[in-house]
Amino acid sequence: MGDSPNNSIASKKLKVTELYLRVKDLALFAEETTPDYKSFLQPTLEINRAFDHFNRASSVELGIKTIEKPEAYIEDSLDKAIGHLYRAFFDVADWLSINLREAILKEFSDFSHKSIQAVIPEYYQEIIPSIERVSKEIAGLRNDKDVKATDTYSQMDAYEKILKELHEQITNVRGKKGGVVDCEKRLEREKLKKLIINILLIIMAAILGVLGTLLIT
Amino acid sequence: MSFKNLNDVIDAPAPIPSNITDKTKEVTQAESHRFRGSVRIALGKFYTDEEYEARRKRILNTPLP
Repeated sequence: MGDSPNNSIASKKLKVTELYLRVKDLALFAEETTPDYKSFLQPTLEINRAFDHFNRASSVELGIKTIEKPEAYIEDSLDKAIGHLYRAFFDVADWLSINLREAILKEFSDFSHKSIQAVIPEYYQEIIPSIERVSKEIAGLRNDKDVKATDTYSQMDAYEKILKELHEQITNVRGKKGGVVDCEKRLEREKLKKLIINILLIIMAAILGVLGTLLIT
Repeated sequence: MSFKNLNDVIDAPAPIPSNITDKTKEVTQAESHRFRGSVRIALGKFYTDEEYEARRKRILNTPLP
């Protein structure tokens, strides 16, 4: 059974407000993680476009504009507002995932896999697979200009959850960076030690070889 | 362009830029004394579309450690 036009309009208005608040929440979060304090304005432009469509709907609903079939016009305008807010959300999610990926690159690019694995076992098991999957999937959704799939809302929930968890995990692993530095130094010392031992063994073998030759002759 | 009544304004396209370019940044900074919004924007601390896409491509194409 379908909704009556009034119910359908009310539920779409609710969706507009909920979406706007979710975009705002994630944008504030993304802004905190961006390097050099730079903003990304495309989501703001999408919000402005959504606001324009929302006010088209309101102008008919409040009697500023009179037309035939007002419900259809209102619903259509609200659908367009929702579409722009979806795009704003996935723009912000993309921005956040890029910021998180860059944070990982900046923090751990100078270290070997061995040190990272030894100090942060969850790094290769959880963090890297999550960030690889999320950045690719969000990029795909962002490129899809008609974000109208029925499961968009649940995708938003899932990405929001993963991005916030990833941020928490990255904050935690940053705290372990000192351990990775120590481990890297220890591994380098061990490598140097092995190299010296190998050189000494070669020298000893050479000396023994020379002595052996002298004794025989 | 001016409208005779609000009815005409409702369906007119809003003056929202579709792209953020170097020119946007230039004008925003030059006119920042008229601006009452975000300090970041007034200082030109925002990505142009080109800068954002370049940064995005660079980061996504760099293998994670």
